[in-house]
Amino acid sequence: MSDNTPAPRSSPTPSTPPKQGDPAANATGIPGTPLAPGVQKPGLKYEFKIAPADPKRNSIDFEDVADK
Amino acid sequence: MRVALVFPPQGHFTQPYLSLPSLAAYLRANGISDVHTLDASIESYDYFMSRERLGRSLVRVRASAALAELEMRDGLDFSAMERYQRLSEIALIGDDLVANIDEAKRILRTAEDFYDYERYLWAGRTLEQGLRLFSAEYSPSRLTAHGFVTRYSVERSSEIVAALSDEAENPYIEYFREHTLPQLQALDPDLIGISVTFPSQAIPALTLCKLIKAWKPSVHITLGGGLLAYVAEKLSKRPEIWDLIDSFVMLEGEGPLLKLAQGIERGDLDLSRIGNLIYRNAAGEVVQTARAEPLDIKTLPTPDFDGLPLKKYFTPELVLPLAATRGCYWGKCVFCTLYTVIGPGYRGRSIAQTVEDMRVLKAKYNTRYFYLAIEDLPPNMAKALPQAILDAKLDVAWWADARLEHDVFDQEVCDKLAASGCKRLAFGYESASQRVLDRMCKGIDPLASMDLVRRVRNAGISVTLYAMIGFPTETTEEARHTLATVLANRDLIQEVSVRVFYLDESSEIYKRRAEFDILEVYPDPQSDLQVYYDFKPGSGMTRREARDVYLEFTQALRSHFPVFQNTNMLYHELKSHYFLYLAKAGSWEALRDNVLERDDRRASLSSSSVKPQAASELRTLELGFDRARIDQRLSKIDSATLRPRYQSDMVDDEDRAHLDRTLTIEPKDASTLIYDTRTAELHCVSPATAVLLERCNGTRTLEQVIEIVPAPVRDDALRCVEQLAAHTWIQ
Repeated sequence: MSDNTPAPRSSPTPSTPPKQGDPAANATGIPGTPLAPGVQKPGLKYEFKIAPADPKRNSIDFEDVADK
Repeated sequence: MRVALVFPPQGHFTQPYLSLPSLAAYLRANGISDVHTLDASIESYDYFMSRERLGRSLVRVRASAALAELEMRDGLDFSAMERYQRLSEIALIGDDLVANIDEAKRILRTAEDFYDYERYLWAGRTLEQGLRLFSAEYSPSRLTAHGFVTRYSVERSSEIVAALSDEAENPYIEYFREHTLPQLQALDPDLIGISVTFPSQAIPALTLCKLIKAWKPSVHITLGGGLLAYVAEKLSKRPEIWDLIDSFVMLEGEGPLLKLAQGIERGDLDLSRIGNLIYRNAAGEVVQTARAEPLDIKTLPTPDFDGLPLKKYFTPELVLPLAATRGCYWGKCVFCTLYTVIGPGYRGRSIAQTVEDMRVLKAKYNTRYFYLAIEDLPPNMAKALPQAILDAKLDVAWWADARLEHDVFDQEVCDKLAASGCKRLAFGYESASQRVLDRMCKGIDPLASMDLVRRVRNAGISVTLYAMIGFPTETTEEARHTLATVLANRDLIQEVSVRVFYLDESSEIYKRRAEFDILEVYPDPQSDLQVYYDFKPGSGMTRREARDVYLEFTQALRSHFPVFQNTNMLYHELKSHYFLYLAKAGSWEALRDNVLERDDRRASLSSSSVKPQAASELRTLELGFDRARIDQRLSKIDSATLRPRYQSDMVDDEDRAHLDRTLTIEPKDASTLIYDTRTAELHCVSPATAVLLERCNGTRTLEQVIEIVPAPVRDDALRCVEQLAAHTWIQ
């Protein structure tokens, strides 16, 4: 398991930052070059989560509806 | 003599409201023929949710730049989390939204597409997102399908007045100046009536008044409508209000409005001779005239919807409201005030008139959908209206509120109601506790109520129950018993509309509060328009406990009721939509099985030999913070920290400062936001998930996709890819 440090956001060359999440870019700087099996992406937590993004504040919906 | 009647924003956008058509019909029937009706609410929604206007919002919000500023930070406080949530969505989907918003409206207005479940959900989500983008331009103000809230409290007249000139947070200043005012200038009316029913209309209505008076000080502006019955007297005490309007109409509007119009037409307007009016006389004194007699509504004409932009409502078919009665025939519930502010007094049209109203409206507006806008379906009407509709061969679909009258709704009556086109009945259930119901003076037995509900369901009519949490003296156990009863009967109940009890100063319970063990009432000294009060109960739940049970209630509903699950919520939120879908499906069961719970979109990976490929319709945005956790944290804050503010989940400045100080700073933790342009759904995934998705580029087998993952978590990675497939994000 890799460490839990998030990958740095800022790149020394902001105009062409490595694309976060692309293991190839992180490893070699050449997008599309596959990593060897088992090579871990530095800074990546191996948590697999998919959550619906819900910007609604849940608490008020029902009351709002009831009032109209 | 020209009259303009205006329904100001914000009201619901799925159907016209009844006030203007009722008033217009009455004026026209009584010799005032030059009457024009403007639904500025639907007009403004239609304009705000247009490519042209939303594009302007996108430019003004500058989401990417503002988001970049937040990304530079090491952590986010409460306010920054709120901004992050808003801006990350807009940065990702803004361009798509602007491009798609007109199509979303078209789908909602076109039967063929509206009844296509996937298309409908795409349109509904797009509209919601569009409203969020528009609101971001005026942040912290927020326009939704159900409300318009600003940081200015509508319970404080000084804040309302301040909102009228705050162009940065009040979108209606610009809108009215560019749209409604020119319409009114073209009409050049002698009398303008503005109908204010909801608190959300208060600021927009007075914003419009201010612009009108700046243009034409001599025009008589009168404000009427449901909200005024509660606050007009209080509002009339503020001197600055009289720079904006000339009179308030209290209670029913038809009579006073006609007399105003006739007086202006004759040139001898004498406000002191018109009942139900508040005005300021020449000496500068505020005068309230005598109560006028409630109208005999049998003498009223059929509402006249001419002139309203009927094609602009966000429904494929027009759902027309119709008031067969006014007031409540029961009129005893101690918490309720509705029966005191309309009329007052209970009155009904005859069965024959109601059927004729339906027939006329159906033929004139080419629709078969009606909402009986009444407090409750009276027993005589429940029994006789269905047969009359059948005899007239009307072929209509309709819904209404009703009381749980155990002796009225027998199986025969329920079957006849269904046969006449009744698709949905909404009952005031309130509580499963006989003790609480008795204290409320509801006059119903909760066990017999469930028998009644069963009969309604047997007939195929969708059942909605209204429930109330936190009635004075109600205990947590009693409230939980209500929840348990509702859940135990969930096969019979389609919707539950639950709310926290508010102490309304016009109610019986407020007048007799000692009887209900209300120890203290806490009026806010700054809220001069306040009508709902916080209070200290001597027994039963505290207000905080009531709020917590309420949240427990809503969460349970989301878990157990198909209508509230996932984005099915749209059906419930957009009222006419649920009704129209019910009518289209024919029955609740058909709607549930064929639409709500149909799940043929789910896909799975057939074999490990395929080379999965990410769907080309996905848009992604990499974020420095975990957007999913931010959503979760923000959604949980309300019950633990905030004081509920009446009809708004807007955070008060004091609470905001407190939250910014005390809430744990959200640390950096990367995530990826994904927007599926096919469904308009947004998801947040972990970086590892985003890596897997990106590796699904059609050149790797499933094994190759997951081979970069360390062996101990490879099974997790496999499950993750299967989940991606289930979302149809990879094929």
